[in-house]
Amino acid sequence: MKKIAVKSFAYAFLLSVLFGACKKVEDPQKNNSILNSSTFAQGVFITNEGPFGSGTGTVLFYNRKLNTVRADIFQEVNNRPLGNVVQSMEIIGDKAYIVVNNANKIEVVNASTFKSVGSIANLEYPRYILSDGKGKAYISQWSSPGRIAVVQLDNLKILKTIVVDDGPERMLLFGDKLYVVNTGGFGSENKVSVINTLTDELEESITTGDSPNSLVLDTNHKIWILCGGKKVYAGAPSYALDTAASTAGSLLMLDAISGQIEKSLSFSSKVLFPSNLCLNKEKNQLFFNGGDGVYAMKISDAVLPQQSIVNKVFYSLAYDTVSTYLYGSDPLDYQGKGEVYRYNSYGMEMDHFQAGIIPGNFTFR
Amino acid sequence: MMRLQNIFFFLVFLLCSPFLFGQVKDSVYILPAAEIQAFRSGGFQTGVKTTHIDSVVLSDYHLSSLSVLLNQQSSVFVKSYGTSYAGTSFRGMSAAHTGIYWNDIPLGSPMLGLTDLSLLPVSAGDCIDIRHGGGSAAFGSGNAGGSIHIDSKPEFIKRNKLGIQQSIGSFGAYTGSLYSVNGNERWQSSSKMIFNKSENNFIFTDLFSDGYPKKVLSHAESSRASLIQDFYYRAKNNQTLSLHAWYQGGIRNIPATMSMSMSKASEEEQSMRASAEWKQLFATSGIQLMTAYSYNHLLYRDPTTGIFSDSYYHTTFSKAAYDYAFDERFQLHTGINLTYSSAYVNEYGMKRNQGLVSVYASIQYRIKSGKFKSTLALRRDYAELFTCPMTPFAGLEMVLYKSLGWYANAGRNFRIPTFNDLFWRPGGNPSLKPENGISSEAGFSIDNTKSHQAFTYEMHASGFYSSVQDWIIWLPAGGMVWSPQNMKSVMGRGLEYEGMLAFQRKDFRLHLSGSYAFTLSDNQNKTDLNYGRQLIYVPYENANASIRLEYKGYLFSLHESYTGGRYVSPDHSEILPAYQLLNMSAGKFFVFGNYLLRIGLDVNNLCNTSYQSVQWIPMPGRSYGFKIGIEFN
Repeated sequence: MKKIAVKSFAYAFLLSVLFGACKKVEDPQKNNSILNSSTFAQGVFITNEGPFGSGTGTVLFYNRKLNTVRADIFQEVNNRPLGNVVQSMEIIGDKAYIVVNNANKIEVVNASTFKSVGSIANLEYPRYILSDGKGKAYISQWSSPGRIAVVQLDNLKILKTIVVDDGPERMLLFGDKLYVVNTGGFGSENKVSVINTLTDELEESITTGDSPNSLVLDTNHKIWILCGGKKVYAGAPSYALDTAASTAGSLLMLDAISGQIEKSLSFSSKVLFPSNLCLNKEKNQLFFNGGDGVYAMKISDAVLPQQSIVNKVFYSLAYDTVSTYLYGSDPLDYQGKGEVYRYNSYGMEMDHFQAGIIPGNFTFR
Repeated sequence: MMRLQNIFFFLVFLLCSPFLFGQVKDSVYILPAAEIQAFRSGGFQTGVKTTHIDSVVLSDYHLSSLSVLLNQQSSVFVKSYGTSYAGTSFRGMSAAHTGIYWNDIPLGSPMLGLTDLSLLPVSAGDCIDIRHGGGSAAFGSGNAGGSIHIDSKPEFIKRNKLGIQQSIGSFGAYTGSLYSVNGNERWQSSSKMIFNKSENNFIFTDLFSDGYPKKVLSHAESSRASLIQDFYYRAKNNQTLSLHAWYQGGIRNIPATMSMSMSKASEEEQSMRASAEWKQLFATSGIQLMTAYSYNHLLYRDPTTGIFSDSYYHTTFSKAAYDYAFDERFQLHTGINLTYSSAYVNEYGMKRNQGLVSVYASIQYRIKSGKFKSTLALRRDYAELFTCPMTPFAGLEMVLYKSLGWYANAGRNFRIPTFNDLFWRPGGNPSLKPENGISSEAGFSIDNTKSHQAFTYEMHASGFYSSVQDWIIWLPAGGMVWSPQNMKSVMGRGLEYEGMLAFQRKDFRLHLSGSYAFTLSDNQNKTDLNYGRQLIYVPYENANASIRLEYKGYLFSLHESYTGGRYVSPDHSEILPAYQLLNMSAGKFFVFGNYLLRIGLDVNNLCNTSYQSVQWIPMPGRSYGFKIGIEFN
């Protein structure tokens, strides 16, 4: 009798320990407090594209310390919506630049109060903005052909546009050089454009794998470029992926000084589209969306990881160097509110919370 | 102004319990009424609510499009994309669930399954019938919500009429129409030419910029021309031959919505519809043979996204129907329809076609006094690409006391997937099944209009229930590709009320009418996040009220419509608020011998209400129109 009691108690204890260990952090609550100048000082800004078509996107603010969410801060502060397809946001100096892709503008707000201070208009399907740190910024645009707009930040005037390849997306600054991945937009490309920020001219076009979509700079000053591969669809009646015409994704390591691609690792699957390459705080570990899950890889690894750390497929992925957590966005049905999940570097889920419609980009502070 | 509006609205509503639009009949049709009804819906119309808009009311809308007319004069909810597309939402169903017919020719596109109401001129027909509720048994695929019939109605009297009407209005709007109706007891010919154009450069409030500035809508110009010809010949032995042809061409620029910055998109469309029909009546039976052809070409261009979509479709539609009355009580109606559609757009990869054969039969039973009528009908459609369900229908009508009657019906409906659903690359799903569902309705009606008294009224009050399974919805399928699935399940139920009151004495005529619809239409997918939620863009309530006065050639009318709030996101986080619109019209007509001169002034959106029918699409504020018309008999 006593033996059974001890055994059952042991099991119960074990179970409760396991449950305790698996218990997630309490999901964030909505924040309705009054805004002040420190409300947005530290936290995560998540841009939500909004419904496809004619709806409006939003910017959501997640406060890590208080574990609270403010769903639509631009509307809250400025009493008006942003516009169609809010693609990304970048904080440059004391201002935040919100790229509204389908409204052809970038809304400029004070990064502390989120109050509107101006906008950059006359753009052509802008996607991302990156500053050279010297008062200028570069905006990638899905015009035809793709162009990079060079803008003077103090007066928000467009100085010139530089023709690159189709579908320029994310950018990376290294020294005086701006590296732009050209995804191909609605078609397919395999180039990374290098722009000299002193002359604002296109210096060279580096051939990569098909559809380069994201890039990071590691601790050894190597630029890692993740390519999704070309995806071609067959005709009637299946409309399936034409595996003969499609190509697999690849991960390249570029030495910026020599301009040579030193490592080129190919993925095995032609079906999957790897994207969203990101880097940890120490800049020695890579994370990316493999198309069928989240993968982690050390920069010293010789081969691509075979096992994912998270089995879930995300629309967008980013690494928060402040909290050291990975953020993944799940748009669910692309019509209603999506969700954001947080994981530690080992792929253990921390929590998740409701975001806006099609959460796509993360800015960490 | 708002309060006055509300009071007016309420009063008209209270007074006008029964309703029909423009009841006074100007002429007597020589063809027996029963025969017309039978061939219209083949005995499927017993126990079905049909609201009828005839020539008196239509003449006020002679220069308008069908979307304006339905919005103002029916309980059908019209969803308008501003200066471009307009579609119906009948009983909480989508625009694809309303069939639109012109002289029995189906106008829907086999590619989209929709018809753009903003492109249909009211003057294409002499009368419009709105059939509420499930009509697949009568008309085939895609009529789960209801159907709208635009018909030309000949009057076999000796006449030679020539008319010209023109209107100019705000935002550079111009419409001109030239028409001629000629004939005698044996033949009739009606020719119409309509041209309209508009700049559509109205002022709207930009809700996306600091300070909500007022802006002028740009890139919204449109122009269109239509040519319509009807020809009838009635032989001595009760044979009628009808020929109809309608050609239309136009171009319109699609403006940007408020959430986007600019648009360079435009749409060019040409369409042609033609039909030939032969009817022969015998003592107790009748035969109808008809064949029709329609062609449509649509070119959609958007230089900014590089989209260049050139699509066309051809449809031939043939019908053979036979009507036989066994005795005073039993009547049989049977027929066969053949439809063949072919369509092409770059995204199909190749030309696509589909043949469809429909066979149907209905038995109508009525008691001698006519106070009780019932119908049992069955229809089967055979499509090359799918298996269509059998669609039975049962309806009955009963006179309870004098002019008070009761009716009920129930039936099955279906809708075949469109060519876009099946073949669009990427994403098209060739293994889609047809949607199917049931609809049912019961109601009361009071109608003394046939008594030809000075004071007439008509009222309908009904409740309906319908459901659709395997509703086709486009969902993300991985990557950037969307693909349609038979995923959705919808249940619609509600109440409809229409009333009309008319009084006529010597030179004075008064018309009051109103309608109210309460609709619940929700997502019935148990696994869906939004299970049980009202569908987007289906208002819980929408209502209309009109008053029309005629005295010694002077005409004055006021029209008010109320559209309830609508959800614009499936999880109900965003709502478009309810709004009311008030329109006013005043005019006079003069008769000089054989000449009839008509002048009129319209004020639309009298209260300059700022509203949205579709989220973020600018809508015009107050606008004016002046029209003048001359008719020579």
